[in-house]
Amino acid sequence: MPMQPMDPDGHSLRELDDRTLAALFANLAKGTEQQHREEETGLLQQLADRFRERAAAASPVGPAGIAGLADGIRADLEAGIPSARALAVATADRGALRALAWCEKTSTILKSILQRYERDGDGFLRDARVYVCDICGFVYVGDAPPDVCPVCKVPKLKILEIARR
Amino acid sequence: MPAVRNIRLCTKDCLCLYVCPTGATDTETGQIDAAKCLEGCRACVDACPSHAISLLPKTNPPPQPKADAVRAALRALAVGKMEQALQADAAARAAKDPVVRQLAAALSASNRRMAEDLIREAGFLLPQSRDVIDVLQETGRREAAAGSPTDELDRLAVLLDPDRIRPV
Repeated sequence: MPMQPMDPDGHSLRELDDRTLAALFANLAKGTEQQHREEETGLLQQLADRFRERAAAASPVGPAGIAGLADGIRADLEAGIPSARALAVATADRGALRALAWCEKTSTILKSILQRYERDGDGFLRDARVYVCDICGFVYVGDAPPDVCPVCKVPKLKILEIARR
Repeated sequence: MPAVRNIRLCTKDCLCLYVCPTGATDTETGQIDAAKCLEGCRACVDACPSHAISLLPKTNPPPQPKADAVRAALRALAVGKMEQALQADAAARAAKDPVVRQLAAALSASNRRMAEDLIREAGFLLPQSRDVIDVLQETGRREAAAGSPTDELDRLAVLLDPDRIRPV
């Protein structure tokens, strides 16, 4: 992916596309919610919704459905994450290393779920519940989630069930 | 900013009720009454045996500097994860089978959490920071040029300004 132009004093990365803005505003809303700042949280959630809807409208739907996600995960695991980690190591950026460690573990789990789905179909899901960690994205397929998220170590109250509807 | 109570940690020992000089800790909502809470008092914070009460800081230090190359790399990963989430959303809408829909919804949620975490670590950790204001202003200019409303962006650029003195 091409690098964005950056200004010399580090205030770069201003021009974000709709997808990135949707993710940014959704995350900032969580931050201001923790700070008990209600007006900020409401505004950020509105913006997150608006940019997400716009990004969805602009995003061409791949023909492969769920199976089409495997290529992106492989690219992240084989190229995107390792090269980002090299940069984080070079600058001793522990925060970035933390995010990349979580991202790599969760991506690996998604990869194995997709592989199983491709190989066996959805039989392994039929009688199971599905949970996603609200902090790191860890996915659990089974009866009850672990007490602590194995990726980010958050207590299970943040591991949310995805309803079947 | 006032003291705040994490109700999930509160074990109802109620020592905060005894030490509060203004009665701010005793409310029907379980939260501490910000209008009564005394700035910097922290009597309830120190008295609470379950560590359920903390003081929200009024201001935060500027975030740690971060290399542009790291920011760009994390951002590229975040864009990819958001794109995956959108593709999963589309797959969920197209799916007839509830089991497939459920899997697609889980994949969407998972990718969204990863994208949010990556973009946060790409230099947007603290809402009240110069980099966030820059994005709000730049996005506002772009939206205005496209004829879209900018009310929320404008208001947030004021509310999140790290140089603004915020009322309690």
